[in-house]
Amino acid sequence: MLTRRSDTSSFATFSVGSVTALSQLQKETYTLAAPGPVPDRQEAPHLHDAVLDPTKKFLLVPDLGSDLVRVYKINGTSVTAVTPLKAVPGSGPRHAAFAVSDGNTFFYTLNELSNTISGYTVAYKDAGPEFTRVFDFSSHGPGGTVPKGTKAAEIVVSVSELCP
Amino acid sequence: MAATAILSLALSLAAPAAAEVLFATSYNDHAVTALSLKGSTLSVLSKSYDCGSEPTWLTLDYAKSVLYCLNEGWGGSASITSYKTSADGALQKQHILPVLKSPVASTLFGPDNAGLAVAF
Repeated sequence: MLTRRSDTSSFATFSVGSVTALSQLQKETYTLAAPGPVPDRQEAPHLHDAVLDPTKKFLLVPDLGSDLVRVYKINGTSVTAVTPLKAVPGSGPRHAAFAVSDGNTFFYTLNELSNTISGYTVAYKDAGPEFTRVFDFSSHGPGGTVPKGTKAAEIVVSVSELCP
Repeated sequence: MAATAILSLALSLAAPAAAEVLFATSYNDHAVTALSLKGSTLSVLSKSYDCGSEPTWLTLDYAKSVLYCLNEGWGGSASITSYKTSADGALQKQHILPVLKSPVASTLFGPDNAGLAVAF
């Protein structure tokens, strides 16, 4: 019986230009100097999602164990880590999504450990995207509560223009 | 978690107008299943067992008719499988690349979607 996954705390990129000859391009493996605020789930980095930003120039990778969203700048098919987004301590960001509305870019993380959604505005600077958190509320809505044992897992964003 | 997971992920559209093809993975039957959605009726078109023991995440390159499947490989070895898709739901395995344990999510990036980024 499987008891616990042993995540390998890594981010990697692969060449898929030839569908019959996949190959690894880059791999970064991360460590934590000390466990996070939720030590039984934050004993090590756990990278849980990979999202391409709307400009297609950056990859966003929520790290549940480190309370970070790791950010990589894309150049062709190579990537370079830039300044990560610092999530709410103990929130455990798991999945993420972007929305663009009226020329403004918004970024949302769904946080497994706190069962909250964090919303950010995004400003693109030369060094990379800068994030300003504008809310962090229950995954059941502002002021909401979730049943004990809930582990929020996925987020999809529908901007208002698509949802009349 | 593993025992009760049914559809772990990724519904992707790939088809002409009349019918829609959905792809789903399951830890339970270790399969990638292609389903036809017509109106409110779902039916199985095909199953592939070429994505290892824990198929978890699918990324579709619709323009190229290519589907990438991550196998977490808890009990065995982890891998990425590439498939060619077709409108009838058939999945043709193209390559299986062994990778580090526990890949859990992926996205395409780069010119002509030539890169696949994977979180572990």
